[in-house]
Amino acid sequence: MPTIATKTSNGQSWYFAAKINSEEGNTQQSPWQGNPSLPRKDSRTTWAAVSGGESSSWAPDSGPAWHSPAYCIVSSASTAFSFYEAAVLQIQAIQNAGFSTSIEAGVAAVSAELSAVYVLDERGHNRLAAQKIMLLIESKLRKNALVDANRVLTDADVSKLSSRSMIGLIRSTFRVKKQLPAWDKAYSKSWQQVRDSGKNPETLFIGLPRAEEVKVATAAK
Amino acid sequence: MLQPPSSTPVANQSSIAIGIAGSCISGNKNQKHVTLIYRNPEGYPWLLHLASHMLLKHEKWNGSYHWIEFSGLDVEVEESFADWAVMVASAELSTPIPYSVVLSPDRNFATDGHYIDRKDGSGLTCATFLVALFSDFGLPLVNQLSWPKSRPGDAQWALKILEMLRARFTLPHYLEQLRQVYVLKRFRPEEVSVTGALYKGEPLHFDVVDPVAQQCLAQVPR
Repeated sequence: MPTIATKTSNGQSWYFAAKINSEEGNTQQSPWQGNPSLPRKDSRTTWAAVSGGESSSWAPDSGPAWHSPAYCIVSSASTAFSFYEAAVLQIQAIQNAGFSTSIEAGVAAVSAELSAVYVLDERGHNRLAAQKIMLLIESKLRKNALVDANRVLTDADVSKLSSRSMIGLIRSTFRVKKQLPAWDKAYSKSWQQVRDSGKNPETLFIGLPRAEEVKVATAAK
Repeated sequence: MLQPPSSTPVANQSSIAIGIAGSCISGNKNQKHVTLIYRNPEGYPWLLHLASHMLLKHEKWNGSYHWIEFSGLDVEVEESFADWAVMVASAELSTPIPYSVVLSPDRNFATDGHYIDRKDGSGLTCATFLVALFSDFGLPLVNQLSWPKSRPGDAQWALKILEMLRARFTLPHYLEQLRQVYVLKRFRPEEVSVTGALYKGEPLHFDVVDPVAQQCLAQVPR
């Protein structure tokens, strides 16, 4: 069963609300509450944390290093769909986390969502990861939150995304790319990443202009 | 290329197809209807189509359509498109798409995914709904500029549609369409249905699509 851990900031003091449910069903309440320390190490747990707009994830057995994470997503194996639901709950927790500005909260929320995508991709749930990143984009676009949608393109670390997730990232934003300044660069990076991974970007980005054409057009502006 | 309704679509390599049916769906022997067919994550075929005025349908495969699978797309692109299309279509449930014989030359969907109702008589048909959907995902199936206007039969078709749906249209929506009946650029269901098999990344020219669509039409029962 997945776990959500949320840390909120109140000046210099940090506190956590955490609940860990291991695969065996054991529950441990708030291991970091009041006293930040490393989260519990668990061989069946993958950790994802967000810090200052950067995100990290760790494979089972390693556990995360302390990054003063704003939130920490913890998922256990074979629970991809529950994990997905947990990510939604996590966003609700983030919304209640008391950030000083909406921009700060927006940055953190996007980072947390992307972390969830990275974890899904890392675990091989590539279609689910692609669905999640497209859902993230669509949720922003439906609210006309173009700054947030652009932030997804800016912050997405394509080296942690599967080719499916890159397809989702680039194509779900394609229809509004003229309003998203980061689209061209994200597309170029994705194109290169797909090529570096041994796949054919012309196949996966069929129908879109070649990345070289996008670069030329961008440079000419 | 065209497979019978008795066979199961999207069961093998390809995970999306376009289905086409005659009167068994449209209720009119001269009217064809097209739908997107996709394989959901559980492996079952589903349909997504603009069934009528303000009526978008997302339903299980019902064995009523002939179908043509896509052959030029990577399965990752196909599945991502299907997942995205269903996601976007859910937004349309709150802002239904007007049916119209008039296709706007401008964008059909707004940033938020909702159909842009320009109140100028424009809207989508079952065929142009699919064209618009693919186009917004960066898969422009057809070169719209190459499509001829006012082909024989187009005005008669449009008038019949207007008569059928008259009671469901607002008066301005009806009159605007009526005004443009003789200058229509029509994308016919059989034309859109064959694009899946022909599409290789470049928008398809009318001259390429038309002969294949004629063959398809001859095989689909009225």
